[in-house]
Amino acid sequence: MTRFVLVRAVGAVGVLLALVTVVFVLQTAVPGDPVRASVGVNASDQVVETERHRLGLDEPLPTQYATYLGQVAQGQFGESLRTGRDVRDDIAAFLPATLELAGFSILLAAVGGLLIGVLTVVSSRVATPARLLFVGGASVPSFLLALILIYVFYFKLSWLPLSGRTSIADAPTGPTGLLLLDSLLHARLDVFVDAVRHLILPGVALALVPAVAIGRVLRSSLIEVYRADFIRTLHAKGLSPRSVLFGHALRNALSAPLTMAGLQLGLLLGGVVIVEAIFAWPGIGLYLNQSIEFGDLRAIAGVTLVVGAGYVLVNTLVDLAQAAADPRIRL
Amino acid sequence: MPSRLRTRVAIAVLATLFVAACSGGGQQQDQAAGDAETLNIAFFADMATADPDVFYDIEGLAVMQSVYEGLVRYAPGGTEIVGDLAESWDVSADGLTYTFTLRDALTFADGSMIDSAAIQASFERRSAVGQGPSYMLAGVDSYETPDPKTFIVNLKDPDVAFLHYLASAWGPKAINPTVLKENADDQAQKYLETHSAGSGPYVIEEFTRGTGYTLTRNENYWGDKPQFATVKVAITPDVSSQILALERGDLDLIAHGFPLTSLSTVEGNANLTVDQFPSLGTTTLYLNQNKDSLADVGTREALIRALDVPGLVNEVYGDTAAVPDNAYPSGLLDPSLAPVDYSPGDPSALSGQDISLDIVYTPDSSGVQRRLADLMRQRLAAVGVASTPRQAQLAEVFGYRDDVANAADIYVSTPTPDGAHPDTWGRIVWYTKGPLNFFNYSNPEVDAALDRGLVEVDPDAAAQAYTQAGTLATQDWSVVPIAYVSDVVVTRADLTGVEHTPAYPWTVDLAGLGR
Repeated sequence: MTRFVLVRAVGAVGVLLALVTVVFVLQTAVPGDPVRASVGVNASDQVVETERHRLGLDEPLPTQYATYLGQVAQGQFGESLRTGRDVRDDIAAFLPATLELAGFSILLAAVGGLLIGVLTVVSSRVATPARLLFVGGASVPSFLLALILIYVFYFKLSWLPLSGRTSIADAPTGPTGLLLLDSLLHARLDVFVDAVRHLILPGVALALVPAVAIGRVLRSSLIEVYRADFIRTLHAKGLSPRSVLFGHALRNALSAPLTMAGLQLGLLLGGVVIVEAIFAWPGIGLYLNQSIEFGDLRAIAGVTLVVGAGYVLVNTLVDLAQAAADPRIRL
Repeated sequence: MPSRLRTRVAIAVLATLFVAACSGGGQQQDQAAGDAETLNIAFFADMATADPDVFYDIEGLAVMQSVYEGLVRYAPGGTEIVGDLAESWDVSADGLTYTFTLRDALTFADGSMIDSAAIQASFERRSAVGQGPSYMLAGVDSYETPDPKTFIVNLKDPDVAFLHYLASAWGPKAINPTVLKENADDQAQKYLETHSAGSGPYVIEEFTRGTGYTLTRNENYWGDKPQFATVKVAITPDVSSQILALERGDLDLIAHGFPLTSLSTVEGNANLTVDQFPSLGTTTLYLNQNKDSLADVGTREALIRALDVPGLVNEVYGDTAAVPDNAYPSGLLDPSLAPVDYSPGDPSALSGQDISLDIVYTPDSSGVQRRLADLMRQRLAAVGVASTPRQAQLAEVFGYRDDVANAADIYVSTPTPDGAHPDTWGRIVWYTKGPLNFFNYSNPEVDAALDRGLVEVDPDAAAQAYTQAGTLATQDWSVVPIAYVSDVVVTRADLTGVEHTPAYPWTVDLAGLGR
């Protein structure tokens, strides 16, 4: 286990170094003058050059690369050209909202996927509509689903709010930045309920495709497990179908869905960029969206590295969870 | 309890919780709609900063114009300069000295008095901070404050656009000197990123990046108090979401970016009102004269005439834009001076030339520039010219000047000048190395005419110089204005007092609004 974690940690450093390099090369290869774009259209050449010097963008490329590596090693990503603040501070401000949304979505996806996978195996009545859901769910891009959800649940039914994390003006802003948790820590049930209501639409928009994907893999995996001899033996020994399912079959079938969940979390973080923009969700997806429009490559690089690190971490955790769920897997 | 029953009970509880969670919102939202005390607006993107000496963007102007004031401003609906903090002003005969007399009993939002020393400190801070808008004061030689109500600016050279820079949306504003002193270590830059220290009808109560801002009424405001006690600005990047919120009454207005193709659907909605206001925004085609295919002025002219500019503008903008009548944005110069003519030309001028053009546009919320570039492609194809439209980010476009040979062939943009004076346009789009002169267009005669106009204190002689600059630039067909675009503002029908100023794009006067 320790060796596995160490190997993964070294691998993660390699992946992040590669990401840093790719991002840096992109920064230098993409044509343009983001400094002028940042200081304003009428800024004098002197102002532009002063700003370029202050940001170190007039240094030779190898120097810039070395400086950037040094900054990243210290957890700094430089100054955002758009906000004028340290990208690390910006990410720290925007990341909790994304973590909350992603966590909520992956939870929805896991529960939904589990229901889809199990119900389609144990109930023939559910199988056909579930197949339709598979096809439909996998075909609907998250942005389209987001617009449909907004139209139905916000515009037509007025059941759920359109955007943001909360409508309550004095909602707590700390200590974690995770509004659900902070509201509970401050004993603000009204904020908690309001935050959940704000999470539902973007959460569902993000969760449907992963839920279907997890459900499909779980279904295939369960069907395969049910064909195994030991399941027949368990039935023959008189165990109830529920005990066979939850006590034995499900645990043996979880490996593939867990892998899929890890992959889906990575894809989900990609979908966050669009969904956060549509729902005005103040997370790193929204931050990235605005940074891309501005050509703010330092902000883009910072978010890329954080998301990359998160992706590596999640997949490591998935591997550990697989090992815990299935003793045949050795790390 | 039997397990099946237990399962059903659990499902029922979950369903009840979901419905309960959903049902709380409708009532809350309905209450928000039509609130007499709160105005709800949206921005497509975050403001990078609320510091008036650093802020140099368009999105966010509604906030800046509401919390800060300058010495002068443009009168609503026009380009006439009127007093703001200054009651009157006088310009010396040589155009070098501007003497402003402040109004009586002016106060900042904290109740402290505004005097000439405070104005001087604010002006000096702008130059010291040295960010984009600082160029407006680059020609200042010195300031004088002979008494608390008199503020004198001495220029190094005459600058006929100077008063327009002071009236500009991005012009120098009065900043509370107490705040500057309390945060002297960084000239209050950190503090003013997210706080206000002005004298306008509102103050920034809350500034939450990525989420929005709350403005509250400045109870010490020296002028008429605004009707809305609170203005809530929500960051809503998606225009579809903004439209749905407007239709539901959760938003009171959309000041820009409304898709023109959707206007017809709004016009049938009794709850909404569509207003069009003239602006200085001018859709402009930049032709890269450094490319072999566009090096010949006759070819550039033939290409523009082949576009059928009046038809193109009508097809893209409908009645929300007009074909320019002269080389400058609308209202900057008498239309009879430096006129432009876009009558169709002889397409055979392009025959036999193997031209393939890279047309670049920067994205806008309403998608109108993409549509314009697409239609240009179609029209050019009809005369045998191949072209490929593509979207580019602003940073890429600002890099063109350093490598014009590898830049795009045509750039479609809708710039707006900082002020309503011909120099604020000519100097940025035509002048050699002007900041919005993307393809390094250069005509020494144009430069000379602009320089002559800037220092010419005789209005007729100045107009003559700007006429010459505009006429010469028009004849070069490198920077071609093709549309005077209106600011289209869609509001809730119960909103009153919607006032707009052409030189203040994408915004309305929030303090004048009521319900």
